[in-house]
Amino acid sequence: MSLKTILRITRTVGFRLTVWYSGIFIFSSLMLFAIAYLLLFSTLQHQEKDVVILKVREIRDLYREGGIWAVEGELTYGKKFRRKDPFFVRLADSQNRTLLLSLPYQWIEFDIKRLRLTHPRDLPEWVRIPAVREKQFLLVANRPLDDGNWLQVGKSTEDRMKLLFRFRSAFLAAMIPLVILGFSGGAFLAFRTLRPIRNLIRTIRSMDVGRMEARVPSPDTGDELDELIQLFNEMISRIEALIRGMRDSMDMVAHDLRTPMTRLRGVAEMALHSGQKPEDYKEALAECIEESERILQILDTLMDISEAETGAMKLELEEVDLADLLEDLTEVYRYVAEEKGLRLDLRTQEGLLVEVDSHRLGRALSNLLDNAVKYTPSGGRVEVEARRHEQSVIVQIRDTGEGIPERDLPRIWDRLYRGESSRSHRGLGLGLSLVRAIVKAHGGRIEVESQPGHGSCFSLYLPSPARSS
Amino acid sequence: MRLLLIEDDATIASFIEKGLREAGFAVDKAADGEEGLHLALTAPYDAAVVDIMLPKMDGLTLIEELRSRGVTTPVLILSAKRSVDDRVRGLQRGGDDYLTKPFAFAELLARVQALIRRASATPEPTSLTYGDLSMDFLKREVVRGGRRIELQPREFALLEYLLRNAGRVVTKTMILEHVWDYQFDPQTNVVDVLVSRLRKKVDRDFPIKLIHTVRGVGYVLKDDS
Repeated sequence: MSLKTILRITRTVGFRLTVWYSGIFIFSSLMLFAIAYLLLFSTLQHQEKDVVILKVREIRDLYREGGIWAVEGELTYGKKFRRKDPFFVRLADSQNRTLLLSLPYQWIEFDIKRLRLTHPRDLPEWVRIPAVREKQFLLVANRPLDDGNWLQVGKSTEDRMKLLFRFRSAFLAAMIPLVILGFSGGAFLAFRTLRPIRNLIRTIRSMDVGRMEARVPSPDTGDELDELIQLFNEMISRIEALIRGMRDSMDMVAHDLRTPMTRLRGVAEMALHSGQKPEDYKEALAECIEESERILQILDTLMDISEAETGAMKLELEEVDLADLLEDLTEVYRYVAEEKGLRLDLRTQEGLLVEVDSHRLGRALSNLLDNAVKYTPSGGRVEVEARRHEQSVIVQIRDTGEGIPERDLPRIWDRLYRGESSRSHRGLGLGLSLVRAIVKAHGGRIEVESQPGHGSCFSLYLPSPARSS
Repeated sequence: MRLLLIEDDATIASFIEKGLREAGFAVDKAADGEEGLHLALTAPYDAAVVDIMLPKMDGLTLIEELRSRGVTTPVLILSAKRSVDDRVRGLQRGGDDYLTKPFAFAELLARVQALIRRASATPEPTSLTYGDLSMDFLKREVVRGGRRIELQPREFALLEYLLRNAGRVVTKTMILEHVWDYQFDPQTNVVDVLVSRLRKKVDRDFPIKLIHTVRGVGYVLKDDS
């Protein structure tokens, strides 16, 4: 492993998590040990002192009753029969001359010179005398007697040290697996926790603008990372749809513009080749302008459709009374209907408030109205009706026109699809796809019913805020 | 009347210039933003036509710069983008009107004239006469050749609009905007229908026709004789 790889690994979140996890784990074990050790240490020390004090009292009582001889007798007895639990005892007079000294043979390496050299008066209540070689002490209680003499009773800390040593080594032995456990536990946890993130990284790496089908496998745990991954997947789906939509709309722009461009070119070419009189040229030029106007219209409509379909359409929502909007729209078509000998009726209710982009929705509605007027023969009727129905507002545009054959019904929303009967009329073949796209962008839907020969009815459902009154 | 035209596309610039000169304006041309700003700051203009996408300094910055220096020349913005956002942004930055490319020259001319009229605050006449046709906008009366003509409201509005622009071509879009306050193109020719109704009432019984179709562009009210 090169240094670079190591450096890279140490920078990963997984590594840092592992180090932190095991660090905290080891630190808390150490703390636990230290507390236990101190507790044990002080308990043992207390116990030792208690034992020494008991002995002091015992000897002091003996001394009070039988003097130095009684003490000596007891000690000799003790040396002979109580080898297991020996004590150091020294009796000194007021000049610190040793009157009696009993030092069990196993303790001869304690250097008790200090007791001889320093007057007991100047020594503290407890004196610790270190051993020459080993790391242990003789814990000596230094107490005055009633007659001015001094009694010094001591005990080795050897047992305590041995116990603590065992405790320490046991802990050290436990520490090695503990460290390994902490580190591997941390590594395992980090690995598991970061698995969704690694999946995410792998998925993103595998993507480029052209291929966006890949999705991150969801761990399905319902936690934050799961949520992140679901959000990410949703985002990618949206982007994918957007890209597909844009590609499609580029395709359709290219396709839909070719035909009128060809016409435009044809007219100009014809005029160049065969035009003789100025009127011919004028005619051709006017046709060119009309054709370019149509191209522009197609372009605008296509842009609107793709904008609405990909969800990129920015709706300028405002609260609008649908009755007013419909009133304005039908007014525009009133003369046309009149000229054609059609009846155009509008029926609305009060308080048809909807939150819409009135410009866009107006475009959609006028498209429907336009179709109804266009495809209804003289003497027919076009009815526009708007009413509230539960949580939505329904706009119905009903005509007594030629209707739509059943096989055409599912396809009328397709771009550029024009049914047999509509071919004779001028139009772009884009109207209904735009209508549907706009209605969908508003969160509504549109339905159609039609009986060939009797007429069609387009029903537009728009979500509407609950009536405030 | 002196106009400033800032447009970097030479073909578009020359056709606008030609049209404006024919309409009786003096026109100064600039091909980039900096030159345009320099001209606008040094000479007084009655109105300016400014393209948004310009080399060196874009149109919106130019307008902002003009306004910050206290130049109040009315500005018509030309743009290739048709989104509502761009229109709003253009108007917020100090533009006075907005026209999307491609446009009919007649529309550009009408908008420029409207800008100048607004800036000079010329009061609109309350009655107009053209040939043997006269309209009283307050009493809402139309008389031609001494005979009163009854018009429905939209017909009246259309005739008024044509008469106020007598001799100048108005496009269908302009008619839709003025007569119906309608911002989008209906596909059926609503305007054609209204015009033909108006013709029946205003022109049919008279030897001299006043309302003429300009193919591919729009309509004009003029006396051809």
